Amino acid sequence: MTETTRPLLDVQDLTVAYGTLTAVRGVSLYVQPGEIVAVVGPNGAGKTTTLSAVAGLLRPRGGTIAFHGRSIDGEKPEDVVRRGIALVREGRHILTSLTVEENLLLGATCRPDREQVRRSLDEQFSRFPILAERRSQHAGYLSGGEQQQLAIARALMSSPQLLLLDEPSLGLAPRIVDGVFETIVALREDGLSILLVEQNATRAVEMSDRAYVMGTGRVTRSGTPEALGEGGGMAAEYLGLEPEVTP
Amino acid sequence: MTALIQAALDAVYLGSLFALYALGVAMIFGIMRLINFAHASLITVGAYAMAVTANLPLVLRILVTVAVCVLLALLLEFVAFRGLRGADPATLLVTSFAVSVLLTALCEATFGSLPKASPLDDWFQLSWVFGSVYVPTLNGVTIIVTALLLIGLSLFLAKTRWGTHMRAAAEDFTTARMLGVRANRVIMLAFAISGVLAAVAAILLVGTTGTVTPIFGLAPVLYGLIAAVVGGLSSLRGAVLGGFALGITSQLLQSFLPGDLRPFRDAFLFAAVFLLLVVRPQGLISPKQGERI
Repeated sequence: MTETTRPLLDVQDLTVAYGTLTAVRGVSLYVQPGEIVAVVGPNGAGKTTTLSAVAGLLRPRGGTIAFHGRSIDGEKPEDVVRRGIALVREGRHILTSLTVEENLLLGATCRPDREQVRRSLDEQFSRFPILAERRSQHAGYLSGGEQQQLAIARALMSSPQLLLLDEPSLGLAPRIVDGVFETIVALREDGLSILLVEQNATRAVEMSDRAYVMGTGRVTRSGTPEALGEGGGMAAEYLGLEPEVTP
Repeated sequence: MTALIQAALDAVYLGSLFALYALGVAMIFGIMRLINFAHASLITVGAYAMAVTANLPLVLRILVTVAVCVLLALLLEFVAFRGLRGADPATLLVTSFAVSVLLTALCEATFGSLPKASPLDDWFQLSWVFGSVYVPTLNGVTIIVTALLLIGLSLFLAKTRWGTHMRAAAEDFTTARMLGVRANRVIMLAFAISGVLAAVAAILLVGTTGTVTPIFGLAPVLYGLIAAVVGGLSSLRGAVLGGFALGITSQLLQSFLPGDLRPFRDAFLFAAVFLLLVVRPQGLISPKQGERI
């Protein structure tokens, strides 16, 4: 549909394996600038593996990953973040022995200009006021929802062009989940491109520009929410999932 | 009263040394989950550096020794451990044994297996006298140097950018990397710091022994490892605490055990370690409760 612009992220025929177990086989997907793209599917479909490969945490066995048209597959995570891709992993992975502010500043490790980093910090504090209140507390004392805000804010501190979000709603109370989804929409309005992996398929597909449905390591369907079925609700029905408990 | 103060000072001295050994081991373990047995070789080589430079002024000897230990630590990281990142802890441990055995053999081939003189300046053999309390200069210097190193290291870890990177990497290496912390840099920094700690331990230790053999660093690292486990291996604070606990207990046993039991001091000491680990297998400080560093 948008052959005119080059995709920001272009994943072609990606294959990722853990030892002899192939978790992702031949996945292709792309993200255009300014898009929210959702990847949904049941547990074990390879969604997290795909994101991890893009972020450099896993080395692909085959296929290519290009960002701005340049190949980034096989790059180290600390280099991928310098290219402008930030990943918020499932489970948030807050550094609990560091303060909220130290966590945030760590997110800006790749940025040399301290003045700009200061400004980013202030932006995060105005976007997530609770983090400003808790800035000098140890991050381990934050609630789950606050930690998710911190994880997103920390990723934004690297000033990314593409934000990868892995299960941002997992384990959060419904009211908090609303807040997280509102944040994602607001970030897109600020010009950020977002690749969102969610088990909460209905909501993820509804808020996305396009979505991919994955099952057992492959993309089984893709397209706009309309094309995928009644508001994406179909995607969920089709997969027979809906809030599933994950470890 | 005097005897008590004397015993306390001796205990703090031994505790300081053990804390230095333990910190060198824990520094690497915290970042890499590697029990670096080759830390023993760093201390040995540091002591040989002191022996080789015996005719130079003390300041120069210290600088050379620190430089040698830091460079060797970085070399070991690059040659032996870089290819094993993320490997099984058992593989890492065995590799560090292999490195240690190799370096011991190299020292033996170069310097022979006989003790080699590595004296410190005569000034260290004097004592500071406070009333009836005697503090050998070396003990006083050891306590002061260790205190300064500990304060310096805490400030570095707490206040600087690189210190924050190290704390982040010790808690969650993958997350730290994803946020842009360069894995190589943090690990090299940890090895460099362990090199400094080994050099200081070597310098202070040759002050008491006056000679070096190829297995010079072995006993210190064994005690350091035990101290680090007592304190909680993945916490630097734990390592320091464990070092002091082990050193102080050892010295108190030495001072207050009845004379005919004194030869069995270490048996009592390790019985205490054994009991502690039965009651608290995670060590005195566990990362779950507090911070890792």
